[in-house]
This record gives sequence, C-alpha cells and structure tokens, in this order.
Amino acid sequence: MNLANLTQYPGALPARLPWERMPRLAFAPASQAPHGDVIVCIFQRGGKDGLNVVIPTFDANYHKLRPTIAIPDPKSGDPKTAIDLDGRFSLHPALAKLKPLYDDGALAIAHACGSPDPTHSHFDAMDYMERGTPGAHTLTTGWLARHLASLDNGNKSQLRAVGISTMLQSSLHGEIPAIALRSIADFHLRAQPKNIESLQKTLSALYALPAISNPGLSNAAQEALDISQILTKVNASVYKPANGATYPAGDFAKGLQQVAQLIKAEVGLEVACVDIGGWDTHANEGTTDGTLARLLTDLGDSLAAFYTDLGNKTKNVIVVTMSEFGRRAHENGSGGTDHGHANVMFLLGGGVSGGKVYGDWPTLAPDKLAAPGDLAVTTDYRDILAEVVSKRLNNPKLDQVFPNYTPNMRGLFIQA
Amino acid sequence: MALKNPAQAWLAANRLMYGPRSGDLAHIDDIGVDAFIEEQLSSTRPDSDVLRAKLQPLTTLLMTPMELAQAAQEKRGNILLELNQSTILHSVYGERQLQELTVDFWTNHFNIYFGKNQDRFLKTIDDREVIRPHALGRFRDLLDASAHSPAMLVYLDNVTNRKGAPNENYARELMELHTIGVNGGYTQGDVKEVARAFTGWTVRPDNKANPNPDSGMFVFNPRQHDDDAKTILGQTLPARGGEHDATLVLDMLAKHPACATFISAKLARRFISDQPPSNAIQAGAAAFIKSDGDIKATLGAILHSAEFKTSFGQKLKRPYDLLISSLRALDADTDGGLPIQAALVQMGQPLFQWQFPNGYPDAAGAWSGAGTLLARWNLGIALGANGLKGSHVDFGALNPGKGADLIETLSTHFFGSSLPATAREALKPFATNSAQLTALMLASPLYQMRG
Repeated sequence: MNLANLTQYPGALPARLPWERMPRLAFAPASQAPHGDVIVCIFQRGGKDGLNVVIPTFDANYHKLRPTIAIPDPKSGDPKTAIDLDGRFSLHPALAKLKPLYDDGALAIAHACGSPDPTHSHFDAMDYMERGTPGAHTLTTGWLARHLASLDNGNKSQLRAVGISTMLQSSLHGEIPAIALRSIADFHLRAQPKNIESLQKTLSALYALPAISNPGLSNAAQEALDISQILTKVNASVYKPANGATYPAGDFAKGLQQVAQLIKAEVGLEVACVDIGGWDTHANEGTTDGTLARLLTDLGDSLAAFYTDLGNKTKNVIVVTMSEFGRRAHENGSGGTDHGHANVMFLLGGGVSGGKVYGDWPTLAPDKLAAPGDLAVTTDYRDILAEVVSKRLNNPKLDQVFPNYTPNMRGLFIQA
Repeated sequence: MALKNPAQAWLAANRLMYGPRSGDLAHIDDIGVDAFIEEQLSSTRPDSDVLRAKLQPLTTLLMTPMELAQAAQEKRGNILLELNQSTILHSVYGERQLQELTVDFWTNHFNIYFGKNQDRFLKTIDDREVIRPHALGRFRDLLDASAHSPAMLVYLDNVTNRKGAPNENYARELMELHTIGVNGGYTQGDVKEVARAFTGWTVRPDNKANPNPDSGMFVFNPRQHDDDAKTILGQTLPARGGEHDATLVLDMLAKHPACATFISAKLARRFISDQPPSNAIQAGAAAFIKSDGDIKATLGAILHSAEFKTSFGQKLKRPYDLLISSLRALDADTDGGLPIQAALVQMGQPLFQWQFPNGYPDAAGAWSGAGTLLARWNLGIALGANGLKGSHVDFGALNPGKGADLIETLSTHFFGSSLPATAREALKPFATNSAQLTALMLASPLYQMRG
C-alpha cells in the first residue's frame, strides 16, 4: 500500500464533499500572460542512469562496462532492444512514446551534461544543481526563483511559480512568491460553506497578529487564502485531458496533468517544478524490464500524455529534465550502478531544435572516464539552462540567474 | 490555579513532549524545567493500560521476519497501517514522552523508506529492535543495531554488497548521514574502502527446501567478504579481518570527533532551534565524547544549556508534531487509524514514506508553505467537528458551562495561558461555538509553534 495515494484509504475523507462543487470560470487576464514559454522543470531525484536512458551504442566500451545490465543494441522490430536515434545513440525502449516527439523535432537530447563539481553526495549535488551554483552553498536562492525575480514582466499572479509537491523545490526558493501544491482539488478549506467566509476572515486576522505569528507564517496564510480561491475556480474535478491524451496512473502523471490544467486555466503560471523519484538504482536496475524500465515507462508515458494534452499550447511550453548526477560507467556487483557524474537531459517543446542528440561525447574509454570511473562532463548543465532562459523565457539577465558563469550556448533552442 | 512560569512550562511541554495533556503544565511548573528534563531523560514509567490495550490487537508488531514476510505475501493484516498506528499511539499515549521524541528523531536519522523491496515488512523489525530500544541509549549500540538491521541492509543495498564488485550505497550514507557528516573529512576513496569492509554483511535468505528460523535476519557471508587489507580515513585495516572489518569501521566512525559534533548539532536543531546555537552544540559534543556516545548525556547537555530556555518561537511543529499535540490537547480517544494517517499525507509527512536516506527535513521552511498551512487548518477543522473516524473528542468535557468565558477557558487549555487581547478579539465571532473555537485555536499561528 502506498500511503501517498489517498484513494487507497477506505474511510478517509471523501475526495469531494457535496458543497465543494464550484462552477468553472474562464481565465485570461492579459496582464497575467507570461511573456515567454512556460517552463516545466522535471527533477529525477536519486541520480538517473543516463547511460542506460540514452545509450551510446556506438561506444565499444559500453557493453564491456555493463556485462549484465547493458541495453541490447537496436534491432528493428524487436521491442526488447534499444531504439535507434541517429546511428550512434539509441533510446531505452521504455521511452518508446517519446520517439515520435524526437522524430517531429520537438525533443532534443543533450548528453554528457552535468555539474563541474565532482560531489557524489545526493544532497550536495541536488543543492548545487537547483541553486545553479556548483560547489558553493553561499547563494541560498534557486535558479528559477532568480530567473523570475530578474524578469520584470508585470505578472502579479501568485501562481507564477508552482512546485508540484508538499515541499517547495530548492530551485524555487527566493524572493518571488512560489507555491508548493500537492493537489488542486484539495487546496481549499474543508468546512461547511456557510462557515468558510468567517473562518477565512478570522484565520487571516490571527496570522496577521505579530503577538502570536511571524511574517513568514503571515505571508503563507495570505497566500493560502488567496490561492485557494483561485484554485477553487479552476475546479479540479471536471478536468478532461484534450486530444485523447491518457495519463498513466501515479503521482508523476498526476502532477503533470495538474500543470497542464494550470497552463490551460491561464492563471499566470510561468514556472512549474515536478519531481519524480526512485532513480538511485544501486541494485537490480534491470535492462529492458525491471526497475529502470518501470521508471522510464512512467516518465515517457506521462510526458507524452502531457504533450498531447497541451496540443497547440506546446508552442509556448518548454520541458526540461534534470537529475543530480549520472551513474558509474561500470555496473557494480548488485546488478546496479553507484553514483556517477555526467548525465543526459531532455528538452521538449515547440521552441526546441529537436530530433538530435547534442553534446561532445567524451567516450567511455578507461582514460577518458572521470574519477572514480564516471562519464565525464563535456557540457555544463548551465549552458543548456541559460539558453532556455535567454531564448525561450526571454530573460537576458543571465548574470543574475547564473552568477559568475559565462554560458556557452549550444544551439538547442529557437529564439522566441 | 495559575502557573508560576507558564511560558517555561509551555516550552518544555512542547520540546520534551508532544505538547501537554491535562496536568502536564502544572507538573512541569511545580518541579521546574531542569528537574523535568532529568525526569524525562531517566523515566522508567511503564506504559499505561490504555496504551497497552490499544496496541494489543496490532499483531504484526511482534512478528518475526519470516512471519511478516508471509503476512505481506498473503496480504494478511496490514503491516504499514499497524506500524503507523503503533507510532501514533505511542506518541499520543506514551508516558515516556522524551523517549518518543527521540524515537522520531532516530527514525529520521536512520531513515528507511517503507516502499523499498522487503522494507514493506522489515521496517517493523527495525522499529522494534533498532530504534526503540536504543533511542536514549549509547550511540555506538544504536549504530551497531542499525548496521545489522535487515531493513537498513535492504534499504541501502548492502544485502548485495559483495567481494570484487562492492556496492557503495550504505558506505556513503553511513558516513554522510549516520555518523560524521558530509564535511567529516572522508573522500571518495574512503567510500570505496568502507564499502569493501562491509562486503558480505547481508540478510539470510529464505530457503524453502530447508527452512531456517533465522531467515530474514542479519548474516555475515564470509565467501562474499573482501578480506584484503583496507585503508580507511588514513587507518589501515589488516587483511583477514573478516566480519570484524566493518565493526572496526563503526568504532572508528562513532569515536570520530566529527561524529560527536554532527550528532550534537542535529539534536540541538531538533530540540532548540533551526539555527542551533554553537554553545549548545559544543556542550552536547563534549558530553558525547566524555560519555562515550551516551545519548542521554548528550541530549541532557543540550537541554540544560542556557539557549534552550530562551528558544521560544524558534521551532515550528512538523505536521506530525501538530497532529499528536492536537490529539493530546483534546484528550482525544484515537486508534491512530487511516483517517488520522490520511491527514499526515495531506500535510506532507506520512510516516515511513520519505524516500531519501536523509529523513524528513527539520527546518521551518520545509513545513510552512501555503499548501501545508491549509492542510494544517483542515486538520483543526476536522478535529473540531469530530470528523475523523477513529478519533473522538468529548467537547462536553472542554466546555466550562453556561456563563463562563469560552475563549478564555479554551486558550488556557490549549496554550497554558490567556491569548493576547488582539487574538481574543479576532476570535470573538466564535465565542459560543466550542467546535469552531477549537478548530481556530489548533489552526492558529501560535499553535503551529513548538513552544
């Protein structure tokens, strides 16, 4: 039983109480329309094994390093082999639903990407990556928060930045209001309707009293009250994905579906963060079946559904996938891989120059591996993100988003 | 009767207990905070009849690994539900409250995600045999129990850590998270060597043809142990150390000065402030070293520090703290069942469900977002309306009767003293409605603070 899934709770609160049904309202205040793309930043927590996600089939060392967990070379018509991308790299077959997006040019792949900092600690690596400051803990704000703080586009929406989670992602920590949102449907006071207004008024008053509150709590309370009013109108229960999109079951797909819903409701969303966990595959990683395959099926099917659901709106949506580090080039004795270094990133959206695997391949030759046996980084992940910020999010202030770093644009995106 | 020092009693009841039940504040006020700290540190009070009666039907709590494995396979009983119930019931009704708070602390320090493979039943054993018996004991014993815990061996993959192809997962987190901290001075080379020292530390598999009652328990497999010499943190472990290699590593780490500071700082953060004061950290670390890692001595030094007594408003309740303190304050009759556990999901802190080995964050920022706040309010509203099945509040007992000032009575009940005039004024529209007043007091900003 997974406790995170409330529907498995017999006797728990019903999903919706009778008085909780609200009419759907249309939203399109021009002042709240984002100027650039909506960015959806997906963090694969645990350290994704990029070498088995986008496989360097052409690298002679690949199969040697991974005698039991290598993904078999592409063989046309055989679904238990990798899917060829460009004659050099191939895609894990569990990501089959992303292949049409690659072929259409909507999906670009950047390989051998990562942070210049060599840490193999999950927590340090995530911190560095989400703050956008490898090797330094001094700046406590996140790169996405700094992007929004430095972009003066007049968007006053309290839903400019949303993290689909109960806890806000570090990349959204900063001077802009950002909201952690677990479920649109649950984001409201669950009281009798006749009492709601007076409860809201009293809570608002109590949280504003310095004698029993503090500014942080006071702000959060006001946000909770304001946003619950907006989200009640977005009305979660009647959402129907468009264009025949079918989201798989699970928290990740549910998260993406809620992002799609917010995008369509035009509530001023500019940045969304969605996490997907379970990538720390030290043991029993599997090949075309098994742990990694299951994770990738969830990822690929969910992203494909999201893309289909958004239809024309994908012109102004950019999806970026990240992970704190890749995994060791050679497998360990547990049928898995230990913490490594460089990784692969996916960039998906209407403004992507896709259908291509980008990046200088450092090779998996023994003398080219980074200590203690990892794929070396040839593209700083900030190069990719900076290009997104500059070309798709229309924010020229890269020095504020990635301080003390001069990015090298790699030509993955079309200037919006 | 008015308390001599209600603020101190309130602080102690929220830091050394999951908030007061009736009579607790008067007791603390009577004996003083320092005496109360000692009382809690050395308490041997037996479990109440109420707690024992409520735990009695939870049959999976006492099962062996093989019985649990079978129950999990046949979907008999509900292992996670009962482990949650046990935890909640101990927290609400436990007589040794500080012990319960340290159980929560170590559960997060040695975090194990219930969803990882066999941990869907082995965590019950870890809770029973690792965390609870050692929560206020010696750190070295706790560390030893954890290193041998089948649930931990599964969670951090040491079950498959074998000679010639080591698995680094446990080795790294043992240093980074369990003992000396990420800045404790180890290198990637040390991670590799510690992993080698732990090769062969595994769990005895189940052999259907030849059943063994020790299946599912720790076993050292010498055939999978790398018995060559190792160098760890500059120290050489000679060849042919066998099972003892890893024991020496645990000794080395537990005695490392960085471990004393790391553990002390983390305790000070949990019990004093998100920005733990350096005096308290140093006092705790010194006590840790002097007492050879005695957790009671370490925690005692931290709690008796001057900084503890002035740390009002410096800790926000995590959702679990809020839930338990609310149930205690309401003197609720609870079974700790699904609706209560569902409230924890809504607030973002379901028990044993944190995937990463670092445990739930212990900083206000992680728990004070708008969404969490809303879920906190909804908990108060639900409890005030007796709307959570399996938990019942007798509001008649809270009501002072006709003519009395309900706001005053309830604020004394929930906060140990009167609320400021501005807050009383804000609550006035509800002056005669005990359900809604209760909801608002539990939802109030003051009640979100751990003293």
